[in-house]
Amino acid sequence: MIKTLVNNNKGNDYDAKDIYQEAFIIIYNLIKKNEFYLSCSFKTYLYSICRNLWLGQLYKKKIRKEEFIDNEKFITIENEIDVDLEYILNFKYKIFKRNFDKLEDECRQILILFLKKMSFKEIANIMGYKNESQARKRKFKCKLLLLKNIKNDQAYLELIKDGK
Amino acid sequence: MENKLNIDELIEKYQIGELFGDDLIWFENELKTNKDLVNEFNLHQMIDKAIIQEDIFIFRERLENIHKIMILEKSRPIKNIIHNFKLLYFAGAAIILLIIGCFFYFYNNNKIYTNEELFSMYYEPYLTIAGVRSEINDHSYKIYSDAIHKYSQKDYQNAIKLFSRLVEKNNNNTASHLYLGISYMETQKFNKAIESFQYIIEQNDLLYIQQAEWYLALCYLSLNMNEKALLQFEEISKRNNCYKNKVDEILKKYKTVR
Repeated sequence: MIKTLVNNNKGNDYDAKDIYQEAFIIIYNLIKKNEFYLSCSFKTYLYSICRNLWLGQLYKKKIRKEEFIDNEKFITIENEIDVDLEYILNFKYKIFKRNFDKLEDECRQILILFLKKMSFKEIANIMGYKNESQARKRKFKCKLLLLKNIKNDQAYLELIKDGK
Repeated sequence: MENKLNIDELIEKYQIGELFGDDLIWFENELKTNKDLVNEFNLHQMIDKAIIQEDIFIFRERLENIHKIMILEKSRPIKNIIHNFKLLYFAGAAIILLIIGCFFYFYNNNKIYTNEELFSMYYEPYLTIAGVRSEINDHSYKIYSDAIHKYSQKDYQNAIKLFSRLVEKNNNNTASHLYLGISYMETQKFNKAIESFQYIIEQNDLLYIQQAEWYLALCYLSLNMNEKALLQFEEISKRNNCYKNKVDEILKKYKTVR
């Protein structure tokens, strides 16, 4: 169904896979936020989200909406623009996470401990640092390194270039 | 203010609640008007959110795996590809080139590594001092400190005793499981080490899962459980984490001789 939609509208199987996965992530997030309501069949809902996502991609490629070919029933997703925003947000998260995973163990650990709301004193104990001040400095250095890597990431640079 | 600290430092201080008085008022006013600062601030916040959004990434990985399985199921043996002589000619030439290539490859890469050699090339005990979780009470903290001390002194027998006690008291302390596993590796009790690492992986513990997967693969390697080792290394290789480069090196050496 999604493959047909994308293939009929200037895309390929690879695009279809991406769109399909992103749609599931969006639905997953909606469920998490308690904002998932079905007013039609799940199939129609999924198709409609994928349709919006793919329309967003085609818009970027300057392909006109009027040329769009549908192969299924669809509904209008409320806050249509949010689907596109969610897509970009998820894409950014992928870039952030990829760069985070490339950090050394120590940096990953200290950043996670901090985000788990541990105090610098606790972090210093856990990581075996001399004191809070050292923990604070290390955390800051790790965050800066992560920021630097992200800002040099090609995919991120392209997003920024597109004004996202 | 802006001259004294750069934007990242300001954001950092603001996020951890260490901007006060006039500095705080100035910063919050800037956040209303300074577009660059807002963008940078949002980037900091999004990165933090992305790091702890582990469930989404696990979900994404599963979707990716499902897709791969579907592709595998759909792939069929290629039949009747060679339709004409021209194609046959190119296929023949390609095979010959491949044979020549393989010959040179094996000629230049003829070193055969045993599992033992690979293990000693890549294994080193986990060195970062980490692991006391906030849920550990004071008594446990004392045992943990002693255990870490024994571990860092390379007194692995006593480290095993202490970490085992901690694990018995609080099974959720995955740091202890990791150090226990490595202590078992150091004392050649690889099967026991495997249990520790598998536990961490089952818990899907964000902090130690990468280390657990890496050491688990090394345990399989050491026990000559080649199929399991290969699967585990391939799994790590897909993840693109800090062990990826080492794992890719191992996979190259590993696959050429098996």
